Amino acid sequence: MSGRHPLLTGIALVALAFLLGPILPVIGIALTAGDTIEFPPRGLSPRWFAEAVAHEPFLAALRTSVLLAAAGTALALLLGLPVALALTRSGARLRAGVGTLFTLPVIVPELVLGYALFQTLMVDLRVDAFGALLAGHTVLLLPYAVRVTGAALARADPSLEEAARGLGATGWTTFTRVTLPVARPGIVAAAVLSVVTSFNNVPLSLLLNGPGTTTLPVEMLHHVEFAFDPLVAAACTLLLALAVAVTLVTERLAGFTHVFGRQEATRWNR
Amino acid sequence: MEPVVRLERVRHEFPGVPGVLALDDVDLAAPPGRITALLGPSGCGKTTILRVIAGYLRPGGGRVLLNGRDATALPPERRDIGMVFQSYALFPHLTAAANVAFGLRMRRLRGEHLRRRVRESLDLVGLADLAARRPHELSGGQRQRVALARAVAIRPAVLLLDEPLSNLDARLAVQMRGELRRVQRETGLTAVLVTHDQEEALELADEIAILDKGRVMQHGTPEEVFRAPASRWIADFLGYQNFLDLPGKGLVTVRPEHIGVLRPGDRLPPDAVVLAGTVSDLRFRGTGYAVTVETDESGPVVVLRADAGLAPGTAIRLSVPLARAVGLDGRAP
Amino acid sequence: MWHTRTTRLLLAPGLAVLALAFLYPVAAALLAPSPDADGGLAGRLGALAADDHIWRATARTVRIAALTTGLCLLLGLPLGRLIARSPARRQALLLALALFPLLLSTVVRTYAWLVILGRTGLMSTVLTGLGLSDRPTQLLYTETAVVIGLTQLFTPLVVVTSYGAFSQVHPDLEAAARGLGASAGAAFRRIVLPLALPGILVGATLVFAGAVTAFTTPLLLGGARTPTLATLLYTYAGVSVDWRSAGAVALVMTGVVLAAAALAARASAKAVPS
Repeated sequence: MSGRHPLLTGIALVALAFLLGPILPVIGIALTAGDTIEFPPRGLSPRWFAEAVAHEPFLAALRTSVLLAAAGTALALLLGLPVALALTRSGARLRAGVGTLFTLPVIVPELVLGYALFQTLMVDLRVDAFGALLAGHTVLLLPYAVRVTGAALARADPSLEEAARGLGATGWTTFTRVTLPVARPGIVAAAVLSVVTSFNNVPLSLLLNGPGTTTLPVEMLHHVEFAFDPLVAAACTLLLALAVAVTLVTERLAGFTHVFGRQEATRWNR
Repeated sequence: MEPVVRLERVRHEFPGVPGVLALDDVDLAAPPGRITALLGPSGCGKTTILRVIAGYLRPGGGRVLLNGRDATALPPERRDIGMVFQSYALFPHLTAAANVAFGLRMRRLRGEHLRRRVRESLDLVGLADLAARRPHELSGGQRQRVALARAVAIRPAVLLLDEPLSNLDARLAVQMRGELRRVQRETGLTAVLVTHDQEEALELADEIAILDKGRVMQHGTPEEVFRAPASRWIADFLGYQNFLDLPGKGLVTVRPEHIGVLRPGDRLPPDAVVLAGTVSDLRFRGTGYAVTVETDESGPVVVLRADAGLAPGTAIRLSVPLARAVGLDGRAP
Repeated sequence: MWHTRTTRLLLAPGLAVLALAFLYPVAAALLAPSPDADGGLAGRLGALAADDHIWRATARTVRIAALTTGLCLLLGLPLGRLIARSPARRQALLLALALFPLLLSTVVRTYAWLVILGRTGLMSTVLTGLGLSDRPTQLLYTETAVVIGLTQLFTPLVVVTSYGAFSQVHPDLEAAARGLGASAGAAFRRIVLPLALPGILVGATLVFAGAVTAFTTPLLLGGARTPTLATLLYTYAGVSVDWRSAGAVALVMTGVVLAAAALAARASAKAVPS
């Protein structure tokens, strides 16, 4: 059909440029030989990369972030997959009620959740910072685990399991040989989403820190607040490279747009 | 009479597959007040032709004339077409009446005038009672009728029907053929019907164009096309089963009901060819039995019999009346 | 169908964690009195009434969020539509490009705007270089900067939801409208847009809620002179340790988000009856 509107196509391309373009100057700043963020950069040098990978606060925060993302994702899946299984096999009423309960963490502002956990867990119950972070991130990731794996389970033909049982498989064999493989794409998608969400999170992690326990984005944020040097530009460029790597691996593993283009995943980064 | 739709040497390549033609120099004319059927297997280009006529597809070459005017470059909204989609394409957020009214509103009809035309159109398809329903509250057959009413309401220059009955179950589809024919007669509209169902085309159309690989293979009245298929491929497509290479006549086809079985002692009928063979299969076909006979010279031949008297293994002779044999040689492949 | 006992067993651990690490803390922080006696809900409401700061920040936050939502729709809808109408191969590539920024932390993406909008940043350099401005331009630490940053942050959400919504509209429907005499614009307005509206509203709600609760961007691009609810909550809870005010801000923020979600759900139900 003829009607592709040139103005709208123009806006769409401008939008794409607006989304991707702003990150490019950061790479320029990261490569500067100077001491400040300025354009054009003063000479080229890898010195800020060297400083970024040797900057002890960043390294400590990176360790915390990686540990937190891994543990939070594992816990969320461990808790969320059984919930998803129970919900796909239960009546509509339970599904609506309990299902809604598990979407609540996405609706309540993360900063508010962080504030609430800070008050109850850290102040009242004297839980340490990492414990509070892990609790918060697990709860934050739980909705993705439940909904993304649930969507994969719901798409599967229920007669698959009946067929397996009919062919003589026990309940457990059916689960490990049929149900789990069927849910695998959903589990992979939920895991990738969860790791990325946890690793990038700021508002939830912001208040939940203690001596030696801060996540990388929060540490970078504090650095930017007080110092106007290109150190963070170098760190950002390294994270950009990591994001490209994650994109390529995800594309291989499960299809990038399949994982990140899903409706239920659209609240996952703030 | 000046045809309402005329295609002149229309050609079109499959998008992304340069060199492979979806339409290969198609010439076609749809005369006024009649139904022209485009008949062919899936992928033959019949729907592509319909989309070219409607203006959804700009052909790579050739011209489209509507009522004698060159419409090749016109967008669909300026072609005055009424299309019934295979999917019906009813607007799900609008009631049946609002669906029918859509095209009329686009033609600036308002008020009582608009309401009357909508009522007339729904009446025509017998759905006046269901005007306030939304598509999801209607059955398949009712949706089909709304789609038809919506297309005829605007009194288009040409009614385009894209496999309109293929989403209905078999009985309803046959019943709707009559409805479609009646609506077309009552409105006097010119119609182009796309279908893969030869029975539907034979019953509904005034003219049939048979298509294959983006080309028009044969064009004529249903009788002409059915009685004298122009090639083995067309005969095959129309359901002919028996292809015989007869001495002196070349390749011919004969319908199963026209082939006789000779009992011992029967006299040879005049002007007939006799084939000897053995019964290999017998299948009940409702009105009779289809008997497959493995003939000595011409391979399998299917004969229609009223009873199950011929058991597999029986040696018999068949008489093929030459008057009923349709020659397929020396014509288009 | 499984036994109720199995179902309960499967749900129990998840529900327990949800209750302990989410429901209880949030309810306690928003509604109940806490040990150091901030007076509970009443105390928080009292703090609200007394604190002019909170109301100014609320107004600013809602203003910023509304502007951001509008701009995200303006940029995201045409892109979502373009992607929905592209052939499969290009569709996957465009969608991946539009979604890629979501893989980067808000800190990374907001930092990019510091680099661009700062006094010695890219834009200032370009503007003075072109002679359009005779002194270094400072867009940083204004509401405009916050809106620009948030728009870039959240446009992908509109792209992905509207792409989904537009893809759901069968192309035959638009073709049918065109055939019935509607111009491309009229077919879009009367058929495609109403059918895609629920999905678009979902996207708009996500953006609005995201912009109301966003923290990094208003902190870095807005600075101390333009506090929003999020930065105010951080100041009260993390810097000045004023529990009553922090609780009050948390209450308002949650209220605004829930109100927006309810409003959108209402509008969506109205857009598509039944």
